[in-house]
Amino acid sequence: METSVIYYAILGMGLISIAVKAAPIMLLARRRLSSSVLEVGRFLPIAVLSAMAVSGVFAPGGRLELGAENVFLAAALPTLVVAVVTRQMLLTIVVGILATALARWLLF
Amino acid sequence: MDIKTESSDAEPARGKWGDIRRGVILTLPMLVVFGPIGATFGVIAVEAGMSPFQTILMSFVVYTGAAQLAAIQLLIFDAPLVTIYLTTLVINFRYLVLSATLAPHLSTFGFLPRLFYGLQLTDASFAIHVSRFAKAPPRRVEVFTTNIFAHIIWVVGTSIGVLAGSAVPDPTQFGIDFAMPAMFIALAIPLIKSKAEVAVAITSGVAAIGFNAIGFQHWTILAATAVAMTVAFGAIRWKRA
Repeated sequence: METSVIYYAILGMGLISIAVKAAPIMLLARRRLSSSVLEVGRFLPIAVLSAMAVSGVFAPGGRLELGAENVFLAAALPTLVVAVVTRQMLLTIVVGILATALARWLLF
Repeated sequence: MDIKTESSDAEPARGKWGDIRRGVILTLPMLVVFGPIGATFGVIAVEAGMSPFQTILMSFVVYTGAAQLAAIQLLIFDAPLVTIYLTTLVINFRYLVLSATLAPHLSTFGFLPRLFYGLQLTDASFAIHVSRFAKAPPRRVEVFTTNIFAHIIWVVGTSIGVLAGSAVPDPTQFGIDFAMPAMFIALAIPLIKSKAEVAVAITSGVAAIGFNAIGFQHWTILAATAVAMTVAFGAIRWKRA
């Protein structure tokens, strides 16, 4: 790897990431949004978080994995139950981690 | 420890130290979410031939796991910089949606605080904040405590990977790699209350499975969100009619 290339990569990637992450906050935060936009926008967090959660479980490597080797599928069930019943973030994460470790131990 | 993200608990008046304390507590799960991923990146980057300084600098400046890991793969194959930049852009495209979702909540923040917030936006901090802002307006000290602490965990995690090298145990050994999906589940569930919200969540999940199946990869979150939002739009129309 060429040293200068790595620094250009870091610089460029940093600028691109910052632009994509900050632009909507910079441009939209002070806009007065119409009430109908806000009414629909209320659903955005749910839509985004659900897509991220389901993708993380069903496609851990960016590709759909429905076989038994994807232990996340089994681990997601107890995790979901604990999330619905307790609504405690840390407890849910701990149960998820333990369920994944247990599923791997049982299967492999 | 009380880390409930429930909407029912009241918001008592807190001073600056109370906000810092709350911010730190909210960020604690990041220790298992960001720490191991940062360490894994550190190990892989150094093994691929990056210097310890370059590796830690990349985590500090770029601060986005998926794009950093992809960049290492591209650097190994001497890919042109343009390819690295375009890959970063594609992988990070979903941040446009995350950022736009948070934007209305940050209307009381000035120019620099908003820019600073944008610099430190991640999937995990988005998930934490979006569930916090759903019940109370953002408290600046708490918000930035969360962001700065998460950033520190990411950089320190990377540094541990760089220093310990292959002595870092494989996180998949213990199931720690499930921490991130578990966190998204934990934060999404309390937000889903009405029938319309259940419909939007299920649509988004099913769409995400479908888009992953046909190889949408980094576009999956955007595409699934778009499909789910048409359902949200329909639900509102239907309620009004």
